[in-house]
Amino acid sequence: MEFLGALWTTVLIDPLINALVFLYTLLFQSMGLAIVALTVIIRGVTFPLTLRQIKATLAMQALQPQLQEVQRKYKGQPQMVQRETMRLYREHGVSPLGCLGPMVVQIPIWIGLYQAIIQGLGSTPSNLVYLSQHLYSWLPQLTQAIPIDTRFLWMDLTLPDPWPILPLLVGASTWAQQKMSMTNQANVSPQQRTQNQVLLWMMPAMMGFFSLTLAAGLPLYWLLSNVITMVVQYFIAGWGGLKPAPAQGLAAAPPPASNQGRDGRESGELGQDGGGSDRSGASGARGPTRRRRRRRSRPG
Amino acid sequence: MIPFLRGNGGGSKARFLRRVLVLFLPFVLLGAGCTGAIFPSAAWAAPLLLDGQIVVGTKTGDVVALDAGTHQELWRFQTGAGRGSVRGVHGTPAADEERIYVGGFDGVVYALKRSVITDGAPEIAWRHPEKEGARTEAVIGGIALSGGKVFVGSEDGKLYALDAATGEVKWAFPTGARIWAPPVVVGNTVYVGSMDGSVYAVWIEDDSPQGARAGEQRWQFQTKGAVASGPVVVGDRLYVGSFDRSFYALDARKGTPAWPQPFSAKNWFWTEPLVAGETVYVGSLDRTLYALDTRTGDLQWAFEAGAAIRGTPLLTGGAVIVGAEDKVLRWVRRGVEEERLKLGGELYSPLVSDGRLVYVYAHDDVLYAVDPVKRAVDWSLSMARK
Repeated sequence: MEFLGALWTTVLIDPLINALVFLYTLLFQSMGLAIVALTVIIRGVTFPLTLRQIKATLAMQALQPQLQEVQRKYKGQPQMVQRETMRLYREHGVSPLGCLGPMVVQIPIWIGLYQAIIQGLGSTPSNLVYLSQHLYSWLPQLTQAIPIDTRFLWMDLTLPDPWPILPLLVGASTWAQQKMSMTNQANVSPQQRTQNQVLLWMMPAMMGFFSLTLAAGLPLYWLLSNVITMVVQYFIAGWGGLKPAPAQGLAAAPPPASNQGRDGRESGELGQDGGGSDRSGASGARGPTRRRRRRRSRPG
Repeated sequence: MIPFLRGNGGGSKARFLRRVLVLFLPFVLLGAGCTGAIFPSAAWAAPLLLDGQIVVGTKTGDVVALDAGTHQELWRFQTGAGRGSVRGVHGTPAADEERIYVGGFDGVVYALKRSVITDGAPEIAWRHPEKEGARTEAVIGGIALSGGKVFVGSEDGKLYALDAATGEVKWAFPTGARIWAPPVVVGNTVYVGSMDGSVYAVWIEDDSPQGARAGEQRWQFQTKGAVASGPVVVGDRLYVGSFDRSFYALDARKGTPAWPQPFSAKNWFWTEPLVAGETVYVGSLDRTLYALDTRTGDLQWAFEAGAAIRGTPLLTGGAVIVGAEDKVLRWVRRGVEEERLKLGGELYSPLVSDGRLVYVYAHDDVLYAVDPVKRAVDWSLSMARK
């Protein structure tokens, strides 16, 4: 365990601490700007993963009708459902795990960043002793950055936001990003739609709660990460679920090709990472559109 | 939604629960990785040895007085919580005949009446600031007493001179950043380091022969890193270490360098040195204890302790005793380790001696009394509340 701890520190915590302090020295001795820059860098480095995730999710969406058909066909035969589902994945070169890659990468970064912020940049004497043992000696200019000013705007980034502004922003951006990633879902059952709606609100609430209790540096990272993800998603798949529901007359228009299933129906949501995780879909369709799709999705 | 998260069996409720579990697993991991107090409690005040009493400032913010003979707790006083709800007494308290003065992480300087103990706690003679919750900047450095004044540095960047009897602010000297170093008084001057990288000499009284006014700067010496360690003045020399990895000797009257060049280590200096004869002993966070020539700053010997050294060493029986972050107390003679004694907690606080025993407050919240001759623990006592 000691070895794992040392490995974790050497591979993740130390680079994050030194990167933050280095960026701090470059960016007008502002730890807030350093976290902004680090977020952009991390999201830039993990961009190929993000892209792969979005593509995998789109491919998965395209398979939705067939997957649902399999579930209908082999209702009550879980082994057959699993076998047929895996066959479909194989045939279409889709890996469900591909959707989770960026999220899996993000979790250690979150934890590492949090530990770097509170242990390395904390403003207590014991934190500073810790920092002294973790700054790279081959970057002597880092020492001159001490003491680090961890104030940013109205916050001390090593403490929870005294006002609920940042938690609210994190919650709102998580909701918006999640909503954006939801394209119209014609194939979801009413129960599932209800569940999706619950999750749509539960995730932002959870992120907001975390943001209330954790050092503000991490929620700042989440907020920026959410914004970056939304920008990336916009360029790949548009506004998604954030787009207002189409007027009744336009509802019959075919959905964008990228979100269409093979039979022309829409389904699923885009994968996400950074400020969120893979989240459940919820129907963006409303009124007549929803009813029309429900009729279509009936078997037979 | 990723289909495989839906599962194939069970009802809709079971599927929903399964999905929630999988989706929120990362957040469970996140919660586990980010648990614990935002800032861990820590403190490194040296025990204060009074006539028949030992006063210890603890990492939980308590000030505990023990009977030096029986080791029984006489009284206990709790300082308040500072930012991040942290408590702790980092600076060594000071005492005169009537009061004990201590600064807390809550930013308050307390003057406690030594002779009035009520319900196991001393009565507060005064506190500065007077109003509760008036200040959040912690008091990290210790307290210096001289001429009826209490000198204390604050994280608000000011060095305060308070009236020892009333707590009234006599003057406040501003520096460029927070003060974590303990002030030192010699004659009519108080010396203090600041995290702005400077060492300041400040006049105490305004009737000095030089015509300076109380609270005015006498001199300032700028280093290239923060100064969090207290200076030590011996004769006309002032010795102080800095986070720029350099250890300086200055002319205490003018603030000019006394050595051709400062001594350089591989990491920060964050401890008060020990000056004995023509040698100055100083530990560094580079895990080494250095012995330097007081006249030139030349290295006499170095001892690699293997762990960061923050506490001031002690010289006894010709050997230097030094504590380190690896919880080990070492006896070192001319750069060679003679003996080591493993204690229960990291050793950050300065070592003090009453002539018979050596006392050290360790990070496990235990006060250890070590016999320097037998090189063994004579007695130890947990400072935790019973």
